[in-house]
Amino acid sequence: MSIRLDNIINLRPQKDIKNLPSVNFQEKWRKLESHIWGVSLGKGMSRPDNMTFEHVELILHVNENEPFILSRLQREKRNGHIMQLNENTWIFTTDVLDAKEMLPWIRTFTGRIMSFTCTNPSVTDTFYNDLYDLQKMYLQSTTSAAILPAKE
Amino acid sequence: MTTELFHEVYGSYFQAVAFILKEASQGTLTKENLTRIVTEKAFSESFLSIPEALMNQTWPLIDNCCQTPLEHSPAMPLTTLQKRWLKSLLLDPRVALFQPDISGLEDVEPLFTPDMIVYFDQYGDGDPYESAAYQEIFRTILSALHEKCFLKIHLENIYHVSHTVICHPSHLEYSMKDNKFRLKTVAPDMTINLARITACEVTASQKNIFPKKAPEKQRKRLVLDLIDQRNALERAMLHFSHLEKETQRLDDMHYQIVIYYDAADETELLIRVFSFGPLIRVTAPDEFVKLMIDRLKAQMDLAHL
Repeated sequence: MSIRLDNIINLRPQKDIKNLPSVNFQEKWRKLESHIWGVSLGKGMSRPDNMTFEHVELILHVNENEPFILSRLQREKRNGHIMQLNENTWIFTTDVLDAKEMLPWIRTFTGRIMSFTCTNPSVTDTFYNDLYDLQKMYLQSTTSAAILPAKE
Repeated sequence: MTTELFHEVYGSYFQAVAFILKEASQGTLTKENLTRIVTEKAFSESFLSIPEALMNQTWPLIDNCCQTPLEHSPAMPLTTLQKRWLKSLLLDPRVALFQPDISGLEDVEPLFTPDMIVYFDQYGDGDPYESAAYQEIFRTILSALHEKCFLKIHLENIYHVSHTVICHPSHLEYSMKDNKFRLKTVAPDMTINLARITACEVTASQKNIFPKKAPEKQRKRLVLDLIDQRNALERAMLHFSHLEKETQRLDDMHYQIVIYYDAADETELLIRVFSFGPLIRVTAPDEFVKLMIDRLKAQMDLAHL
């Protein structure tokens, strides 16, 4: 669990807690830190030996005259890998504890996203539903074409 | 000195008396300004106790003529905790760029070290603070700022094309998120990432023609409607906290936010607005709405590929 300090109303040190398991928090942290996108640890802290990650794939279209897009991808990613698929197509992949936290950042690439998938289907759905709502918000009066891939 | 965070010597009573003794040692203390100091610097009940204790020699620190036998003005020593905290700050390589005086802290253990802090939302290509070349460039710029001199700057742009500019440095700014220093210049009006500077030199002192103020930027206005779902209001307040804005509550769920921004930051603002998805809708100006529509249309075309 991670808690924002400005959300804490009050706290007190607790002494004599019975049955407190012996935990090496630094060891746990080392296992988790390269899979954290924002602040959420998902379920990682409660079961670090049996962690399940959410796999994310983001495919982007980048023109030759847009090196700043790749530069932004490189500098802003907090983990994961970037690979060139063909001349104008790049893929970013990562495995994180809570992919939901990535959505605001993924949306900053709107206009260049060829595909976004996550092994947590609710994250993929949220992304495409939000895109659909944006389409209704700005484009409904100018086009009726769906911007979403056909749902299976 | 004490390791306690709170100690009576750091209280307002001690500070008020220290101030009085400082004036006494300078020979400027009178009974009138003694009373004034106590009124200004201590709690109201001290108005009765402190002047009396000093003047009737209960505290033998000043005589009837407001002279003090103390040979030195009282100084407020730092606690060990304060020293340890200062030492921690001075270990920060960004602070070290300013070459602060660290005398007196040589044998102090830092309270924490930079590696103990995780900047979870900081970008990965921060400035190379440990690089000798970067440090030299930084100090040349600092010197030019202090001396109000021109700078001749050689830099490389994002396309690795080199060029040279001669400019008046205005000020340095630091972005925590980018972990970068930027130099703001006037005549010409530019923002230069320090890490892009390959070399720089002070050219000449030009105090007389150094502009006092940077020229006004082209300021634009953006109107957003926000739906407060998924904690969007709090996120927006944090996200746009560095911008001048007005926020108006329309009903339980809806807010209108007016943001003022520099025209040069428009693309950055556009992608930031997109990061909120459908929870923020741009309602004005029309040119910004068109930018949103163009991006969405491009997105639609790509999704059809």
